[in-house]
Amino acid sequence: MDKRSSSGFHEFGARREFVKGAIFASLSMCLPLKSFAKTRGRVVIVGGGIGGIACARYLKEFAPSLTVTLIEKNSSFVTCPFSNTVLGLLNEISFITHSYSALSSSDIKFSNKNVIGIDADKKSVKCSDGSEIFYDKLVISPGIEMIFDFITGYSEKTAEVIPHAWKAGSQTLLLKSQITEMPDGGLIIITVPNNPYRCPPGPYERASLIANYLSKHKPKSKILILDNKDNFSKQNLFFQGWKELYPGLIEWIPFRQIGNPLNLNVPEKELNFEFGTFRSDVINIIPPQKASSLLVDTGLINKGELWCRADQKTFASAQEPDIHVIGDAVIAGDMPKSAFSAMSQAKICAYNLAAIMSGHPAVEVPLINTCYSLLSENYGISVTDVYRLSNNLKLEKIKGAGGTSDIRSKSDVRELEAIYANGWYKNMIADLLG
Amino acid sequence: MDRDCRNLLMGLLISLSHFVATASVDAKSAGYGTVMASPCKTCHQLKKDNQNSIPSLSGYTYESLIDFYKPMVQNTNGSFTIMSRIARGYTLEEWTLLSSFLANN
Repeated sequence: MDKRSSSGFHEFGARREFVKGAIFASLSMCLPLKSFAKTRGRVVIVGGGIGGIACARYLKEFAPSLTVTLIEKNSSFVTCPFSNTVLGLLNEISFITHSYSALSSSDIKFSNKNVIGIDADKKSVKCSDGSEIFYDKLVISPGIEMIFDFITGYSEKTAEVIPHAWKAGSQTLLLKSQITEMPDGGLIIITVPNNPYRCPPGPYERASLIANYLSKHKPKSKILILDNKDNFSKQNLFFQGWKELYPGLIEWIPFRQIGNPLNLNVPEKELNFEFGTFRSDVINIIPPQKASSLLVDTGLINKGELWCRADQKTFASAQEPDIHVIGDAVIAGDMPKSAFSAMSQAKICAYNLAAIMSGHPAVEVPLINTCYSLLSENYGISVTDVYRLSNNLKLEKIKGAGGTSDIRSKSDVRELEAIYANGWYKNMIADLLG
Repeated sequence: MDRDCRNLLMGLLISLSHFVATASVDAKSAGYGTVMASPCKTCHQLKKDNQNSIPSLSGYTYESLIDFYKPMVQNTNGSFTIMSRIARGYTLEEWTLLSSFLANN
């Protein structure tokens, strides 16, 4: 963007709208949206992923006198965003691994503990070391759990051999080592679940970046994507990119051609589906997912459901109004389960928590999701949407806004979006931990 | 009322509106602007020394931020990638509020 002066303003003839808008802005700023500087209370946040960290940081920004405690079982934060660049050997795991130490400068108490239960009546969180942490308001951002038994033969134990790599860290390194050790001419299978799951375009970005590595180092190899659905996020853009960058290297097989998954034979590395059997050198199973069992145990998820229902303005649980649920675990209308969605939800949740604890009404603002996908180090595509609460209090996409990158764009735009994807990641980390 | 006088009055009104907006914006109290702008901060830094490929939102005047709205929404020059799609989700009133906040922070 050019840092232009106002010289161009009159060119689009919006003077009247500008005046109206300026007056609106003036009035809006004078509305009783007062500082929450003196608001006191204890907010405990369970889950030190993107949603949890963002909520903690912004709570302290909006209401610095609050006592904010972030509880996380891991001692460092490994991001799922950009973990596919590790699989494609574009980055080391250290690039996506971050310390929680920066939180102390924001006066956030970091508690490296494992939460085993929540007592909503006592307003306390129980940890595996026997300690109990009390709250006035609780925010849960627990992320996802895998549903391993969607296919016979797969389990948490089996995942130590056949990785899902859908939680970044040791699983990412396991899959990376299998890819690099595979001989040239080998086959990699990636199975993809039906919606909803964490990061809808993620499996296809993964295939792209592994293909990027294979095309340079093992060009006789091939990737087979076995999908449990018939279409996917940014599909035409991925198809276009694959044709251009990796012709013949990636094959996508939709649900209508393979049917349901039946069983996995680990020693043989063989997958059986309703309409076919596939043997492979490397298998990456991305299982269907659900919200953390902590939410089920706390009674925050309805029987027979996989995700948590919450008020989509404040993210207060439908069952426990003093418990807020954000990120992948929550049903947030049309918003996908993504890093950016989690951050958007965390920020409005933080603001509205501060407002509620200060005796002010909750506010509503447009929420954004933006998701970049890399097909190579210099080929990026994106999808974005803006969401508002509808009359039935559901976050709905705003019609006419959002959408994917233009399919007609040339290589310079793809390169620019790859640069922006890297910029987004770096800035997101700075926003969380900078 | 002649044209010069009308323009003068319009200019005064714009200046007054902007002055009121500016005067009332306080980083600690403009809560609505803060939360409205918070998703922007996921991609754009507000620091002046930003080295990121995504432009910082620091240093823009209120008027220059307002100036971006229509070109972004229409993307007439095709130079916007993701912001054109995002801007279409905001009304001019919301964009004005965002501009007031960002120009003062």
